[in-house]
Order: sequence, then structure tokens, then C-alpha cells
Amino acid sequence: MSLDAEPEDLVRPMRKPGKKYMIVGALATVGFLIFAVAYGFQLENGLAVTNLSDWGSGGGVTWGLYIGSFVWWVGIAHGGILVSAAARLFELEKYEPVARIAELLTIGALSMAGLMIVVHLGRPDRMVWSTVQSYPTTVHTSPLAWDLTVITLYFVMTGTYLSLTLRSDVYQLRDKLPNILSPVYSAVLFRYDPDEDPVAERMAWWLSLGIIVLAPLLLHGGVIPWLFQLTPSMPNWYGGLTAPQFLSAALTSAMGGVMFVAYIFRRVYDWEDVLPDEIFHGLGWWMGLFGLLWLWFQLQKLITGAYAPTRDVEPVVNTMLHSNVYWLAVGLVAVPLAYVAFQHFGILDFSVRGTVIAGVGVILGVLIDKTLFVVEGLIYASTRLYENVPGAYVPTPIEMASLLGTVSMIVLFFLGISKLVPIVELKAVKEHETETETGGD
Amino acid sequence: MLDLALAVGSSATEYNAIQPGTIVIFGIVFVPLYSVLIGWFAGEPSDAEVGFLGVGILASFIASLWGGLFVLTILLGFLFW
Repeated sequence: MSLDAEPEDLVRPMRKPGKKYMIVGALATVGFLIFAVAYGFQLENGLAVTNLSDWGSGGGVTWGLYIGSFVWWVGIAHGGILVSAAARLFELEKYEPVARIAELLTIGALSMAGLMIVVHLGRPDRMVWSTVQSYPTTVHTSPLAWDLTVITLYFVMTGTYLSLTLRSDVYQLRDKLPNILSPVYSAVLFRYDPDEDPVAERMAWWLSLGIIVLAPLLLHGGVIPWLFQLTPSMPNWYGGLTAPQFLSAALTSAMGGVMFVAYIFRRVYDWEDVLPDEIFHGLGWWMGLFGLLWLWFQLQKLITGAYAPTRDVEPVVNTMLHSNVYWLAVGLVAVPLAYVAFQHFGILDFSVRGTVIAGVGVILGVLIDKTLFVVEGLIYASTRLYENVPGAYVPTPIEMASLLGTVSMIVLFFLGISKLVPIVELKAVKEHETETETGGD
Repeated sequence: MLDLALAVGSSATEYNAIQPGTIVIFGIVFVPLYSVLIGWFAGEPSDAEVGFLGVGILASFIASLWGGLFVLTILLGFLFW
């Protein structure tokens, strides 16, 4: 791969913030403040302000945009580390420049997923203590306890992976990094010895192996869908197809997320040489492939539910078939899929911006789909207890503000972290230098 | 054995029995973590000091994640209840 960048290029984002940086930071801060006010209002007045608390009395649902966003954020968190782990395990050098951005997206998105759970709690102040206290018993029987366990494990393994790969880069770029952050770099380099690099590299390889099994098969294709698919009284949730559906949605939206963040850095720091077109071409292709799988699973669900459904399943699928919002979600995945396929087969010219916009479409489509999935599961429950109070669900401004808040926090996270550490691995540039010296491509 | 374990796990009151989560979490989900730890200390190349540093980083992330959540939620408790 031809990467025409120098190590100095990697520290460009760490220099004095420019005008664009300040504008984006100000907008994200406003988004965060809107969330803070809305969440404060919710804490002051209870979850009733979201209409999410009264299933069975006032109708509607108890889970909505908060849980839909939780699943969505976990999905985006997925791809990040998978891109990085796959690049390391399968020696896909092409994706190395985007690996650390992807890892950081995982850490940030996973934190936002956790925050959506905290925001959804009526008494968040009791969360940690009650979880820890009951864990020795709940872990044996509760999918919610499994969920907390696996998300913790995923977060911790990703963070360790990032830390191990960061040490060598910080050491080598130390004289180019801002002095004001010396204490942070000293902590990162705790007991660092350049001789540890081959061992640390191998440890990162082992972590990649662990993560590439854990994340798709046991987290987003495991514990997260099990939260839903093990509930027989919710026909929209119940069944083995839920896990592959979740996984395909996670992977396709995650590719969109990585492309979007990488594109912003490429635009702001003129990183066409650091993050070249072929990375976006490759990620767009994977996004299309996973999107195709997602559409195929939708087809399975619709055909099963429309042909000769059971009494429980019929209203769910009937609603999906007649819901404009559902078809909007399908369209937001299908059109980008067609677009990247046309590009790949040469019918349309390749465009980085077009591919990234397609990725944003997929991200929005998956968010809508996940929220619908959660809501329809509860509205069309098998139990007839609440049949006379079916109700409806529309996300309230309070919930929307929380979603805006998490997006704003991710932006602030990237603005902050890009000033702190190099967000592209030095290895990606050094490999190019070696290739150039040996006359390689 | 698996059938027996899953069968006795059907009652949430039988805390001493092997229940589904015991197998799912400690027998399946943790396998990647077990592999990583074995790889760190028994794989090639390996170094015990760097291996323990890795374990320390793992532990610090657990502590910072749950410690941070604890502080945040307690702060919310002070402010709103």
C-alpha cells in the first residue's frame, strides 16, 4: 500500500487548535448542555417525563429510544475494534492507518452505550451498589448480569489493547508531543523498556484473537441479543434469528461509524495521504456486505411472519409491513448498499464523500431499526394482561436530548483524545518507510 | 452433564447449583479471556513482567470503569435525592 505520510504528520492534530476545531467543540458543548438540562429535568421529575414508565396502566412501552440507542451504540463500538483486530490478526496492512481511530471509537461508543443504561434508570444512584451486591447470585441466572459482565470484559480488553499498542508510539514520538501533557505520557510509559516491544506486540495479537471471538460471537451476536431473544412472551424478540440480525446490523453501522470519524479527521487535517481513498473503498465494501446480510435477515423475518404466522407473531409483522418508519430504515440500508455495489462494479465512480454519506445513512437506518425492534417487542407482547391499554410510543424531546448528548460527548471525546495521543499508529507510517527503502509498493 | 446443569438451573432459588449463567459466563464467554492470559504467559515470545503489566492494565480498567460509574451515580444521588 502506498502511504505518503511522515511520522510528523501524525502529530498534526496535537498542535494548537484551529477555528474549525473550536466551532465543532462549541457545538458539541451546546449539545452536551442540552442533554444535561434534559437529564436533570428527568431526574427531578422521574422517568414519567419520558412516558417510559407506565406499561400496563397508561399503555405504550417501558423501553424505547434509550434501549434502542444502547443497542445501537454497542453495535457501533463493535466494528471499531474488529477493524483493528482483523488488521493485526490477518495482516491487513491496508486498514492499519484507521486502526487506532477505530479502537477509540470502540471505547467512546461503549461508554455511551453504558451511559444510555444509566440514563434509563429511575434511581441511578443505586446502580453500582445493587449490581455488585447481587452479582454472585444474578450472574448465574440473569441475562442482564451477563450483559454487564461481557460489556465490562469487552471494554477492558479493548482498553488494554489500546494501552499496549500506544506505549511504543508515545515513546518514539515523545519529543514531538506537547510538553504540557508530560505527566500523562509518563503514566502511559510506566516501566516502559523498548525491548518489551516484541512481547507487547504479541500480547496485542493475543488480545486481537480474544476480541475477534468475543465481540461478534459472544457480545453482539450473543449476550446483547440474548437480552431480548430469551423472552418468549415477546414474539418480536424471541427466536434464534435475533442474534445474527443484531450482528449484521452492528457490523454494517460500525463500518459506517469508522468511515465517518476517519473522514472528519481526513478533512480537518488534510490527511489524504494518511487515510487514503482505498481505506474508504474497502470499508464501504464491507459495510455493503454486512448490510446485505442484514437485509437478508429482514427478508427471513418478514416471510416467516407474513406467510402462516402464529397469532402472536402476526400483528408484529403486519405492523412492520405497513410501517413507513420501518421501510425508511430498510431504505437507509438498502440504498447505500446499492450505491457501494455500483461503485465497486464500476457503474458509478468511486467517491469518498459519497461512501461516507452512505455510511451515515446506514447508521441512521440501524438506529431506527433498533428502536422499532425494542418498541414493537413490548407493544405486541404475547401476554394479554395489557390488551386494553395498547398505547403507542413516540420518543419525547427528553429522550432525543439524551441521544444528542451522547453524540456530542463522542465528538468531545475525539476532540480531546486527538490532542492527547497520536490517533494513527506510527507502525502504519513506518511500514511504508520500510517498503520504500526496499523498493516495495 | 450439561442437561443436568441446565435443568437444575431452572430455579432461581437454587443458588448452590450450577445454573445456566455459570456455564454461559464462566465456561463460554470467558474463554477468550482465558486464552489471552494463557497466551501472554505461555506463548512465544512472552515476558512475565510485561505480562503482569498487562494484567495490571486490565485490572485498572475494571477499577476505573466501575469506580467511575460509582462516583457518577453517587454524585447523582447527592444532587437529586
